[in-house]
Amino acid sequence: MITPGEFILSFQQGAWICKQDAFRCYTESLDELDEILLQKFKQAGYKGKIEIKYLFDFDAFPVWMRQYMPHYFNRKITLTI
Amino acid sequence: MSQINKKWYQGMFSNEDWWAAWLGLFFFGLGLLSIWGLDAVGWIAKPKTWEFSNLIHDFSWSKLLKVSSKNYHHLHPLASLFITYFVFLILTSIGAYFQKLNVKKYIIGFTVIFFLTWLTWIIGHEAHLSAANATVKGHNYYQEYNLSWGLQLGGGASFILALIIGLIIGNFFKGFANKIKEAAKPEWFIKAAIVLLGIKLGIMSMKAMGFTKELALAGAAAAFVAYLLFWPIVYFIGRKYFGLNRDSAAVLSSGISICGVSASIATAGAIKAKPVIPIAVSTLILVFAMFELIVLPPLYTNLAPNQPIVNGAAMGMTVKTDGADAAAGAILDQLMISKHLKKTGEHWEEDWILSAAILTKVWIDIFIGIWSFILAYVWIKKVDRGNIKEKIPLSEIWFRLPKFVMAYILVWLIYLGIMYFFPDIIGAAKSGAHIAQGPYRKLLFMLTFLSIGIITDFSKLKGMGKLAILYAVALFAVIAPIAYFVAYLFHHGMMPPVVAK
Repeated sequence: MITPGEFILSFQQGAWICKQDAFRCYTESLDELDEILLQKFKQAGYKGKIEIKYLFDFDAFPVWMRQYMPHYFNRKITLTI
Repeated sequence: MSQINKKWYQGMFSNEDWWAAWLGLFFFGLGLLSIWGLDAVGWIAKPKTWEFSNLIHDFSWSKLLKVSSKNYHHLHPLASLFITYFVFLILTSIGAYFQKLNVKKYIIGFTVIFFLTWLTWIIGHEAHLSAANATVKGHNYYQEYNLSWGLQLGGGASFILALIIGLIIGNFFKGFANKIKEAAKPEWFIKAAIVLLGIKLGIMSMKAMGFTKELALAGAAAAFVAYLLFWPIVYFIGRKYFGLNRDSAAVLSSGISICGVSASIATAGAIKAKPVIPIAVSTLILVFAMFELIVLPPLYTNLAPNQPIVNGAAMGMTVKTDGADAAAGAILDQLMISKHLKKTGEHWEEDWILSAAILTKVWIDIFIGIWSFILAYVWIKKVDRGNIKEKIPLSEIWFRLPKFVMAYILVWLIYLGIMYFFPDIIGAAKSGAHIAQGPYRKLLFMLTFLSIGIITDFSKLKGMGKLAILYAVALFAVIAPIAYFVAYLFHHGMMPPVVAK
């Protein structure tokens, strides 16, 4: 079961990984991820506008790179059902 | 345990950028206690100029090392060195713990790196390597030691030696390098050193306010003009002649044009590229930064020996990553001062050339947060338009803003404040400041030189193909010449103050 709000985003072996509690989703692209979430919310009976915030987990970067920049991105989107 | 940035204060105790600010501010605070008559920084050891046959004939540790302040004259030089080791070990290990590094590995690595650093620092002070045949601060070590030959590299000898030893470890003793890598943190060390350089900028402002202001403003203007030129040219070459996709071309353009690894990560994040792109680009940047660091300081010193500030500013715009830029600036500073001293007998004040290199880089570091935000907006609206409505949180600028730069500016402003509002205590403030920005900062620089060599593995260039070729073309055909031209335009005629003739 997913709820509107925050999702943790990561990247591993060529795939974006999206997590919220027990929910896990692996996709090739962020567009695909948005689409999957849209469908999931639709199936769960949500209607109207849904705000989502993806928070990227910087642990996805190798340790040696973290000294140069500690942030990748946070992304805010609005899904309309 | 995930590492996400959600609240504005997140990362304050867990990332290196913040820890560089804390470490720099801590030493700055200790130095400032001199206002109340307390010397809390003078115990740190510093190397002395020595001569080989003189030392062999009559060995004494006090010929190699000394304590920084006469208030601690009772300390044996070795005791001063070990106090320095324990203080730096404890402070950085606390930082390592909060950054979730392996503290045991860090302690071992730091111990090896610290003592190797001191060994190279001491060797680099041997008179045949460092002493210039001129009188500086009442001494002409070249003549005092009756030298028949000498490289006359000044402080540059230690920097170059540390770099060479680091590179040998990183490329020929990779097993050993892996064992100590946990503590090889050039960005952390150099960012803390740059915070302390804010003190130097403050002291410089006390001496020559107009020139310091001009240097800062020229650096900002030069950085702004240069990057408006660099980025589109490199992006165009990448797309048109190397067939890169939009994401790779944008990430590479930022990496080469702006501030290296941090810019490539920030840009990739802004356009939401897959992390594999900045990882590949960053590997390339680090290896090329080493070439820039090795080649450019002697090149600029010999090609334009009469343009010290132009050379420093050009260095700041050309050499990528803060560590490599500051390292290149420090080598350039020493090489140019020594060359000028040898040629004219005139001694330029140290650190002005380095400050020119740092000031352009600092503006660039600030610029990257804003540039990434603009790029993210352009990407959503023009390049990667989807059906989903997307907003870019303003907090993205904050999370990408380098915090050590804030600390650097804060330190500078505090010294300016002392100058304007409390002129009576300038003398007392300076006594602690000189040590904090001198031996402390120089030790952090030396740790950076060795560390940057240890983490640079030239074999990583293998398999980089057209990305490596594009990088080389862009660097030598676009970035370096434009950077030099822009630096000349804004810094032409500026000269460091002369401290001795």
